[in-house]
Amino acid sequence: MTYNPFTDLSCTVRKHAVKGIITSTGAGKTRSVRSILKDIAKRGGNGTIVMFIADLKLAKEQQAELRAALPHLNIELYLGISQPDPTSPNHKMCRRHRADDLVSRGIPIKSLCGSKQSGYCQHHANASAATPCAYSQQTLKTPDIWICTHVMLFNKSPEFFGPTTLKVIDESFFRSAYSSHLSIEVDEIENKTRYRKGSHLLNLAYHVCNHIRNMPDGHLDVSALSAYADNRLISALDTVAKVSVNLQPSSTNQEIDIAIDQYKGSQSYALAMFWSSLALLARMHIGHTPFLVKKTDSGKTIIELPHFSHPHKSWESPTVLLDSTMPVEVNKKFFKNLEVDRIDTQTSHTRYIQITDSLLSKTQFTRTPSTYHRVLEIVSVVARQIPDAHPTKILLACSKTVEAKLQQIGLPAKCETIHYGAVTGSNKYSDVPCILVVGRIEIPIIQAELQAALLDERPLDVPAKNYYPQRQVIVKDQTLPAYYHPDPLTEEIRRHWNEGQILQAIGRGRAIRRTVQKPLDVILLTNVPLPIEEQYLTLTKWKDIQQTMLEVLLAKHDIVPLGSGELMRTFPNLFDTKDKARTAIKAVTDRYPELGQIIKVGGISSINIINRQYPTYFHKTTALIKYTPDKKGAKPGYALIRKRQGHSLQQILNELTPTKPTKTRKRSANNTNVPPTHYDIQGFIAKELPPLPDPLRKKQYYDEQQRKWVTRRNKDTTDVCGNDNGRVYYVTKRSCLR
Amino acid sequence: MTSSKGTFPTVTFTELTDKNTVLTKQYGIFMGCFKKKHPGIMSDGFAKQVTMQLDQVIPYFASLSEHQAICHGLTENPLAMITVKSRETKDRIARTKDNFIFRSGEPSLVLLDVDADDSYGSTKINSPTDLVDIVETILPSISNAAYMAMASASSGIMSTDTDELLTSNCGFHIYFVAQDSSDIPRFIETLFKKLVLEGFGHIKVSRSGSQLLRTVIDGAIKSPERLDYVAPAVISDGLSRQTIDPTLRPGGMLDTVVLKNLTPEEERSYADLVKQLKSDTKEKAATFRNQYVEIKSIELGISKKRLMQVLESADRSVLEYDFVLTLNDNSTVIVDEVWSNPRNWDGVSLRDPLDPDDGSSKAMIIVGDDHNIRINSFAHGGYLYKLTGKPVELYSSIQHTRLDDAEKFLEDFNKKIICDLDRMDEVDIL
Repeated sequence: MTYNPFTDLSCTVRKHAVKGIITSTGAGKTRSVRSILKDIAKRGGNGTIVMFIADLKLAKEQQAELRAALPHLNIELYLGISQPDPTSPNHKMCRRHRADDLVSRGIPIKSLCGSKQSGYCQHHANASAATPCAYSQQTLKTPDIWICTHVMLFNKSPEFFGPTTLKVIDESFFRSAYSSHLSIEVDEIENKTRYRKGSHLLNLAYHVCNHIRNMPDGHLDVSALSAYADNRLISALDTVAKVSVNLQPSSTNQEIDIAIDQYKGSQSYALAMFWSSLALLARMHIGHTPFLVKKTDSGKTIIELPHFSHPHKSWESPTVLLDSTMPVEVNKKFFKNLEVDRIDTQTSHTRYIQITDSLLSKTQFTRTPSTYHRVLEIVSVVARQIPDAHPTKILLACSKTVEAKLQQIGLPAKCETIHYGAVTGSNKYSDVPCILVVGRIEIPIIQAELQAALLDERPLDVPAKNYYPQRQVIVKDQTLPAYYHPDPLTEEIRRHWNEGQILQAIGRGRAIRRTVQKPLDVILLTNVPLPIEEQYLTLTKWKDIQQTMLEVLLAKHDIVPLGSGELMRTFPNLFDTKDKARTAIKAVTDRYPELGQIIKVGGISSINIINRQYPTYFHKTTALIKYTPDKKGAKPGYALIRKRQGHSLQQILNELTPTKPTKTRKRSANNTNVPPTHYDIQGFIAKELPPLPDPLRKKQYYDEQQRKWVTRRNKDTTDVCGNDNGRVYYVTKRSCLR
Repeated sequence: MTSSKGTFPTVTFTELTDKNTVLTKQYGIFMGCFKKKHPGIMSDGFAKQVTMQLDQVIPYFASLSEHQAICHGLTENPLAMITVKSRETKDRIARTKDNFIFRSGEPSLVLLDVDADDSYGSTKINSPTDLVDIVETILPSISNAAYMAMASASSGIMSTDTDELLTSNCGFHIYFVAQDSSDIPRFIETLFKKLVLEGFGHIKVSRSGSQLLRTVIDGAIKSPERLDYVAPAVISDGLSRQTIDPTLRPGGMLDTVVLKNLTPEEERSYADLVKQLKSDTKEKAATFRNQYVEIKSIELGISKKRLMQVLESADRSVLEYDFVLTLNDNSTVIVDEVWSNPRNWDGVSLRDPLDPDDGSSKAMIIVGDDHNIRINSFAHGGYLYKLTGKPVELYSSIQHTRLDDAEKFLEDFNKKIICDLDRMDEVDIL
């Protein structure tokens, strides 16, 4: 049996309950937590409720929402000393020289603030200064609820917070716990000034460092080092010398500089972390340790110490975790007694369309730069569907690189962007009519495996794999290829970055809160399988979702002729030959075969063409018209035309060419004021609807809720259809042309 | 034998011997039917490097026993013991690309393999001279290179009773000596594409309706470890062999480097041409596929629709979980079995997935570092197939509740939290 020194040290402790809830984004988990906060705040007591939010921007947003929802409670946002003072933007929260440098090196700043006995800093609220610093003013606050960022969870709770009654952690926090920057030089491990007198660690340091120097670069081999990880090492962990910094409230800037320089070389935290990481090897006997990575840089041997911090014990209190994409097994590494409830909610008024044949990964954008333009065409066409006067915008979610490139090329004004890694929490986009998700991000397998090994304190597989394996996932009777990792913990980390970020991006639209009047369209330009309700999901191909040239032109100009000659005349730069024009027309008629049929047969008064495959409330309706240019011998032609706000169809048509009435109309003596019609509407290019009932005997209404035609009107019906001499037609009530 | 006086280059290759396995093709009459047996897999034997002039190769090949074959690549040591990959040791090597190599700057045999093909659009090659004339239009310097041509082991098998030709007598091998053996794989690949561009490409429609690109030479003969079954075929009583006489042409070595890679324009034209050729045989392929699906769906118990999907995937080089693979001994295994236990199948050789009748040991299962499984087929130009496991239903079991229910659920959750505020759990820590 293998000897494990940790067995002797294991013990049972009593911890407060930890509860987690996974619900669809927008189901009201934050709102429900408000009611918990309200109830707990009502109970009183001397503790504080602390809410941890992913970042400061979201924390401010949350503070505003909580203040509005709970006006009788005092809710404050905790700002660290290096943050700008909200009341005086030219100053930081702490006004002392290099205060943020002190904090970033872990030097306690309390001594600089001072106390009643030692006297206060000149900027302290208790000193007689005219303008006390914002940080010391903050220490005097006693709110019912403190709001902090996730990072604070891993630091000691500020003393002025007092005991914590409840902590609520919103969204996934484990990213804030991961650190890969800590490192220590091997020579520093042997430096005897870094240890207390007679430390066992110093005796070990010589042998350990010799071993390390002889090892190859990379994650260190456990078998060579685990012998040192014994009981004596574990009990000697606190013999690393603490470096004290002698700072007073009266310290000068020069004294602070000296203190920082002195502390910089101490590396006491890294040294303690090195020995703690070495102690963990007692649990491993073969393989490579994830905790210790050797690197040789300019002749120096450095040990990097990647690690996860754990919530600081000063926050010990009942805990609530809220996350729509919670990595449960990962969270259990931080909160062993975590209990999770899950509920998924219907999104009846959201329609999803997803491509099945392309990831639109970073590589695709690099290999085929024209993909940026194809994406931009889709974005432009969708954005142009929104009438100019309408205040709403569409939301584009993609990776930071793609976002930057698309912005550089030029995104339409009606489009806002967010990038993966910063998509959680915000309610800012809860009214957007459409969300476009472009591509995905993937954490490299080597990183995912390292993080899983660190969390699970297990050896790392070396050499690491280069790629994730793929499997087929069934989505709506089709199979989509999907990357995965066979290890459940690694898979959770991978999924957090990949599917998790996409779901969070979609969640910004608050899909479950949508109504008939305010539906949401989600266009997924990536084939990552997602837990979407299949009944609202349409699968398509990348080629099919791309816009044809004429669709792009229609979105831009609101009119495009469907004759090759007219097309060449209107857009001479794009169509310099008849072949190019014909190809463009063929592309659009191939996509919408009904269009070609109508042109061929002529004058059918109904069309059910899927212009956009997803219905929204704001769509401009497109019509196919027949018109005759006002030229001698001109033949009638066809054009696609869209209603522009404040313009009649005739005005838009006139932008294309002067027209004359398509046929001579007799005008009655009583009706001389009726202007001559210069075009005939052949039909409307409308949104996707199920086939019309046949035969159609009376007026019917389209019920969006049931997604079928009904004979009686109700609050959910939106369209009316009827028949005209056997030819079926329907118009969209909200966005009809007239 | 047609012989010519003149100089012939010297070449070194590897002779392989496995006393337990027949390493040449076998033909016989069984129950009145003509039967052929493909050569076995070399699993235990030895390799020996042999050096000779090209004109001495013909009698040398004729002298080989049925347990012998050759490899064009060379091992590190002139003598080596051969075993299978799974049993490889320091002293016994496997016949892999790692152990058999084309040494840079050293000469080696390069084989242009002409298979009889009566597909629509194929070019009839009657003699080695016909092929050399065609290649000369692309690579004029080939006219100065020495070559040796002989009938392939499978050609010209006849019934002695009826004088009926049972196998085509149009297949033959032409051996040149390449100046730099390391350029051979590139040379064959480029020559294949250039021949297609010159109008010698055509589509062979397989039994399963797959459209396979072919030209006058086999584009797959380019691997250093590949077995070349040069020993005379074993034929039983009642059969005889009538083949073309071996031909020799004196000359120098073949400078393969002279054949330049395709330009980007040529690559585009090549892609367009292949597309066009496939389009021309689309109807025939559809007919063949329908017939195949009709028969195989009953045989395998798979619905016609599903079988059609599987074959369409295979055309895109993806073999889905229920695709049936044919092993060398004609037994079958479905892809999912390989997928569920990849380590057991890594390195196993089998028949070409789309054209199993083409012979044994035409393909190999490879499990990659990325956990993905592929089949590398060496048949007819070489193809890489990706295997996919059984699809998983990740999200189908998720029940989506109404918003009202979710809100009620959250209310209950809130109550639980309030109740549990004072609850303490016992947690094991270290």
